[in-house]
Amino acid sequence: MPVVYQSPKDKTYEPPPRLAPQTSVMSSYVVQPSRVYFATQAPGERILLFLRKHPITQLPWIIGALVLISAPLLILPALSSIDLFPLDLPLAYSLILIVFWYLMTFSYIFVNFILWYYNINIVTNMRIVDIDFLYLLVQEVTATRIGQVEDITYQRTGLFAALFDYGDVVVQTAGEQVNIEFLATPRPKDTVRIIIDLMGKV
Amino acid sequence: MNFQLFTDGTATVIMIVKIFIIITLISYAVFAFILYQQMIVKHRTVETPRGPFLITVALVHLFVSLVLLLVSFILL
Repeated sequence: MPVVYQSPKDKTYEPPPRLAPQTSVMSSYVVQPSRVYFATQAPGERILLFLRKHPITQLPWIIGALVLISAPLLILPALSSIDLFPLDLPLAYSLILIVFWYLMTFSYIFVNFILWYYNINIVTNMRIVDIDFLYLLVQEVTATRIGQVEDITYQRTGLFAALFDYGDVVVQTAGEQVNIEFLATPRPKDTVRIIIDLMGKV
Repeated sequence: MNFQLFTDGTATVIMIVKIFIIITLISYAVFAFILYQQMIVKHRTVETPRGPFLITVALVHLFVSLVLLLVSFILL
């Protein structure tokens, strides 16, 4: 009997030698990460690329955090010296307000960090998955099979993108399916090359 | 604007500030709890080796916000 369909489980993809496996999952470009799994991962599905936005794109909120940290140290003495603001609150009130300020600053840093940490693009040997946490409560997961990818392009715009080698990768899929975008991902050229290699094998 | 009235710190003003701080801290504690819950959801979506540590950080953050609320009830 002729073989109509062959399971893709025997298909394996080995990245080029220069894209050796890495262990750090704090990085924004990890090849074949160890001990990383995602919710809809199928049996036999192996993560080949694990991507986040380039760390340099997080600079605005890091600067914002530094301003928030230093604000009470700079502004409070200045205000008290010009006697413009009612700072003669009881000591307990001032202490609680200052502690609360730093707690809010911490949550600002923490929320921004986890939004970066959990906004992930994954390329497996079967699929391309885009996991987005747009805000704290909004989660969006998009996935497409490698076989349904029609076209893939990358775009690197701006001085920072050229200096730090990051850009947007757009994966166009067949039919009505939503396109997948990897925004500000490091080494977009290598990412595109790996996906094209995978498309050739499927 | 006459700030002298404010700096005099009448009991009414202090009471308004106290209520404002308490309500804000209660809201913040709710936010900290949602943040902790969201960390668990995120970790279920993508499991990484650093995930449990981040959940612990969110839990400590929730604990600190509750302690601050408790302290503000006692001190203010």
